[in-house]
Amino acid sequence: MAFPPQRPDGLIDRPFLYHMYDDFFFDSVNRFDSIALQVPKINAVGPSDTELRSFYSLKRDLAELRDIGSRKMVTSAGGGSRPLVDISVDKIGIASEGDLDGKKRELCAIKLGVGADHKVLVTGGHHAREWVSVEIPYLLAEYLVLNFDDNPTTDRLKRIKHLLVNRQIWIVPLVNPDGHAFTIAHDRDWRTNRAKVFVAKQTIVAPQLKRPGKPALAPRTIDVPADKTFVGVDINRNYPTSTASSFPWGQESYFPGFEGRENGRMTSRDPRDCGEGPGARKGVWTGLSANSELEAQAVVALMNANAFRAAISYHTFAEDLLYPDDAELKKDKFSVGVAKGMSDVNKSANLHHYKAVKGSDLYPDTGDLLDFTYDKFPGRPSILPEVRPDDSPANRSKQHSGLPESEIFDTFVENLGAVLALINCAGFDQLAAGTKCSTKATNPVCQVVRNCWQVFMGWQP
Amino acid sequence: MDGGSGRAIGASAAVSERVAIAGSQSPALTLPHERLGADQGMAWFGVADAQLTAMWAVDRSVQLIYFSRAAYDAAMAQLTPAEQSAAIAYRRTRFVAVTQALSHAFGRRVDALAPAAQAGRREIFDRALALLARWFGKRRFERAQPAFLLTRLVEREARLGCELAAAGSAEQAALSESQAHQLAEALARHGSPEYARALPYVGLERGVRIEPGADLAALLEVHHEPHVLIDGALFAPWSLDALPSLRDEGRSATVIYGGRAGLVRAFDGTEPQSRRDLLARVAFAARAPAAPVDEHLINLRVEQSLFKRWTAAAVADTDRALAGDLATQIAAGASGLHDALAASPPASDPDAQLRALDAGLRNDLALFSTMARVQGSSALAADTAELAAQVAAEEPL
Repeated sequence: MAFPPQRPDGLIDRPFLYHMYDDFFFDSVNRFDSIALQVPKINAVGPSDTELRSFYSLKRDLAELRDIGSRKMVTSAGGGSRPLVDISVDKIGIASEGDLDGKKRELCAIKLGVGADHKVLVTGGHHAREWVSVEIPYLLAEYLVLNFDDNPTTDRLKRIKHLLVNRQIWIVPLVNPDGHAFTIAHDRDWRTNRAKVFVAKQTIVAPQLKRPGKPALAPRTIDVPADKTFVGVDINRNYPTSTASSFPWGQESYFPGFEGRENGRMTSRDPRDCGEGPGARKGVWTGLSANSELEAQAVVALMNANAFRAAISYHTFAEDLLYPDDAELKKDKFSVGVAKGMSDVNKSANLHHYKAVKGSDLYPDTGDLLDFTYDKFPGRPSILPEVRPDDSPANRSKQHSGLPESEIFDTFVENLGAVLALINCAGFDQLAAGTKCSTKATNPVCQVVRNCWQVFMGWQP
Repeated sequence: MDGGSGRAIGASAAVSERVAIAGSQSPALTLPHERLGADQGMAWFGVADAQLTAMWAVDRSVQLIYFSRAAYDAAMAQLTPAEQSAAIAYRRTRFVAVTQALSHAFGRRVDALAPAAQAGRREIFDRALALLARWFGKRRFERAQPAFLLTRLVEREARLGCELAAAGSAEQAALSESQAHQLAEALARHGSPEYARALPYVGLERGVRIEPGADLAALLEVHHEPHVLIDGALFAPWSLDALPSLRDEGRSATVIYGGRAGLVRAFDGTEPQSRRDLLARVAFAARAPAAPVDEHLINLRVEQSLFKRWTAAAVADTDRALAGDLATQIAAGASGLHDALAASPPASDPDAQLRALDAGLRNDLALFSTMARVQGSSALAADTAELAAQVAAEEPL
């Protein structure tokens, strides 16, 4: 089928294959740590192994979008005409582990829009088990491609065309394809990538993140045990955030109230906190050095090659819109204002409301993309949505096993206006003054100037 | 709402083997069944296989929700009628019989491993393992490259070795470690040298009840770790290494599952069901403190046995040396597993258990064949037919 059927809302009617939300995929694979005895299920809906379908459905779906987008021409104000999607971009890098066929998995990407002066980066799927964080960036790409009309007839279509003519949007839905595949076939709780790092017996002296109003913690001495290969670095602790940031790579951090405690670390230099680490300490290892991971390197290289003016990195869960602490510390009214504006737009969707809060209000960590982006592009909005579910006890099972498919679309809807607003804000440098008055005329005229996010209030797909 | 009345409606009650659900006005309910409950326009009931087949002839929407009456009884035990209705509603959101039928069927061969070993029936034990390897691996790893399977195999063998060492089985741990090194070298030959220098680190964890534990819940939430609080006690996976520090803080820390999987499965139900199952597990662990870890070790050994068979199949034609090494490891692993199971006390007459499991499997396959046809699942129909043919060709257990 060259073009998949569309749903009434205009999106592609596509099974969420790479999220494995349907019964077969969800139940047929090993959700926990046991292959044989715990969840032995047999495919009842069709052939093929789960892993290849999981990854390559995303690859295939993005290829489909690229194909559709490349046939849509964008006519800019200057009169030139170019394809909506740049088909020369299909990935930004590869991960370390081979799939069932022995091929390295790719960090698939789609580049759309022709406004190269105002670039926006959208990422998802840093943490393997956070499946819905892959879905939102993908659906955004799909929404923009399918709703682009070079001859728009409605205000909504004109607004979408405006974004795609004046912005260039890079979308990388799944930064961690190896980890994601591992959550499907082996361990539903897996968080990190699948890097295998040999560490010789040694002592690591780990600096501790200083928190405002709290006493400084002395560096921690970690005695790494006998030579082992440690599996799984947290990509979102590996970005090379500099010491100019308040959250530089490599400083250990703790969940508030658990400072200095073994299970309280949210950023760890101890290799034993790798993906194979046990219980509540698993999966927050920084890696041995900043930017050591292929996945982080791919994102950093993309950022080195493109001066992004806004970035958003999807995660789950909490229902917050996080912005960098440094934006607040540096009194960056624009970046903080955009985050709060996005929260207002999100609220106007009348679904779940995400509060705009600084990153450390959830918990402090270092080497993550939120702070790295702000470190690299100071003054530019950097946002990390923690999407559904919220953290209420009623959502216990969702937090563990992921959102049901029935909630994915609403999650997208409540995030859509906010991300469109961010894309729009990439073209701005400051908050609106509120009113603009002409004083030259004999009768001065004032008009209300809206902020960059406000046109997306109440936005529906 | 009417939970657990046990009254029959329609025609006279029959022996119920399965539990199904239908709309309260379904014509299927005129056929013999044992009414178990009703809520929100649905009625659930126990029903014999023959009657269920007859029900499908008049109403295809009748849904099987428990494969056995015993499983239903266990799921509903100690629940009030309102809690039973909630449990049924939850079950309907989680359970699709068509997708889980075959695994239930050959799960009976998993269950046969222990009584086969206890009865000294090694040929049945080996036959069951072979069948499991074939069916668990079906469509999952058949096309996998050896390096992919070997990577998993090394990681799992390393885990098994660490678990054996932690359990005090030094000799078996050493054997496991040497096998892991052998596999790591093979993996390097297949182009992935990551484990040739050193085996993967394994952090052991246990499913634990911690009291007091309420103050730890926030930490687990932010780590996305599954956990439940019951009367101030926390049930969660916890690092084996970190258990002493919990006790140093004045908390009790009781191991109730050897690994995370069993604990998390206990969370998969309504709150009253989880509470009941977890408290029962605490009582079990109090009676037999070593049992949770023993059980976990058995699971790991079965899984590893299957993984090695899949890998051996994948390299049979391309790496004779590895195939030979794996054959040796498989034989040693099967013997070790057999001996470990044989040493465990039988729950009842093992020969009678084997006969019941075998009959159950054959009944399952007959019913699932019908269900596949009624519900239009050609894949299940094909798989059921293939498995049935395989089982029919075997001597009864």
